[in-house]
Amino acid sequence: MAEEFERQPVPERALLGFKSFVGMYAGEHTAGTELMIGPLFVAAGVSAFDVVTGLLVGNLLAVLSWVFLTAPIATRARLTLYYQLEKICGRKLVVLYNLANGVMFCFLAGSMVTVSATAVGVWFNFPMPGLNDLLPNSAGWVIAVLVVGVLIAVVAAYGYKMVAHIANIAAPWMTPVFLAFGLVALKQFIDVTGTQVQSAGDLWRLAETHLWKGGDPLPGQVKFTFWHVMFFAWFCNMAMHIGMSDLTVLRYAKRSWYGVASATGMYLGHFLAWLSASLLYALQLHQDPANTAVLPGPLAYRACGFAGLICVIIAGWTTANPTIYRAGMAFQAIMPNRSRYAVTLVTGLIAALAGMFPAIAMKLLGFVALYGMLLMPMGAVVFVDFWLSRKFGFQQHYAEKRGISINWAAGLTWFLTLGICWALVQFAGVQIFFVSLPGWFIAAILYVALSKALQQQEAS
Amino acid sequence: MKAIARLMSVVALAATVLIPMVYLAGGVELPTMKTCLTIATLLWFVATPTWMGRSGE
Repeated sequence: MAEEFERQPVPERALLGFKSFVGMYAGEHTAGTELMIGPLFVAAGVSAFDVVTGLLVGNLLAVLSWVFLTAPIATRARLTLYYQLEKICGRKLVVLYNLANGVMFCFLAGSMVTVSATAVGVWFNFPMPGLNDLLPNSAGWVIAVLVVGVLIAVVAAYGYKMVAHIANIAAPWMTPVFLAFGLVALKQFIDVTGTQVQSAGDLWRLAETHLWKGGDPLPGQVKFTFWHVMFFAWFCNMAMHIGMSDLTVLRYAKRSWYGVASATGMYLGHFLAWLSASLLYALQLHQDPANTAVLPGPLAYRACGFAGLICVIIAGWTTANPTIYRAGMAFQAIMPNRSRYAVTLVTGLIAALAGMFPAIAMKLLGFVALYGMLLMPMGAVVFVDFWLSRKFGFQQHYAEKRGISINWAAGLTWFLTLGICWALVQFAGVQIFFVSLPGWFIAAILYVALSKALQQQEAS
Repeated sequence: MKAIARLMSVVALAATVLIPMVYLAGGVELPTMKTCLTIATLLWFVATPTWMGRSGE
């Protein structure tokens, strides 16, 4: 994306072809965090049928969300999410949105630093966090995360383009290495169980009886069923599709169906890579049921040696880098007088501090669901404002037209939706993985009702 | 020169895909597979930067 067109529609000459999006989505969704998510499914006691069908359906729903919710608006308006939000919500609300987005990006980058630091642990052999550890558990771990985190922060601030280049180079190699994790683990399962695999039926029986056995989750983990897996796969990138942050990416697409390119990321990263990583962890549990630690470095090293270790470091590093950069951009929008370098550096250091606490990485399933939920209401606001404002008789881009810095219809929609979602989780027993679906409809209805009420009140 | 580098990248990528499959089929032992994968990785990262993303490509 050479030119940024931050405050104007992307012109015809800058539009990109389908292949650009195929590569981008495939690279972006084969990240260091995939090495955490797959094992956490196993820790959640998922069964073979639930994980395979849940991922197939959930990833399909995610692709359809990009194709039918995000891309049609992106290719019609051709504006960044931030600029569209500014027109709808006003400058002050966008600042708040940036703050929320930046903080979540920081924590997400922290979990990627955690993943990379587990590779350092293979070389230096210091105690690393367990599955239920919330705090750092050794000086070696703290030092490793700090060193890795500071390096990533400095590079994100000063060498972003260099790392982006390395990420592009590594991406085609990384996917086969993720596949290798799965194949190696599968072979070792076949060997240690003495299974004879002559047909697909034999393989499926192995999957059901040894790979993803189902049953109770490990202590401290939530039990995952088909519905958990499906909703997690659908909503783990909710901020990007339903939350509309990929308007910024897909506004360069010549056609709205280019949203289908997200299938490469979903089925390579969120199907193949998750299943492969989960096999590594299932094998570890099979060999030593007491060893429940989810540590991508040692898992990858045991399976693929040096290549596996390099994969963990690069996957964590190259995805933490743009995440810190994006968080820095979000914070810089709040503090425009500070230099991009200084803000990105400080952001990276905060991510490094966050990465020190294994709670984020070990509770990544819940964190990712929370991240999507937090930004989802603004996606509903953008959707309703774009498609339904005329139908329901209220003004589109109200903040811009009225010259106001905060559109309270959008602001209240955001806060009330989050409040209702929180209440549903706390008091109605709805798990965080599911609450964003009713949340989206609540946000859409609230925005219509509040916009009509506030605009009529101000007109009279 | 670039053509050779591209060929090396293709060979490295093919090896990264195929070696674990050969291991799954019982054709090589785990240590051999790891060594081959390491060599393929080094080959990929030596050869690919010389042509991927360079101006004029």
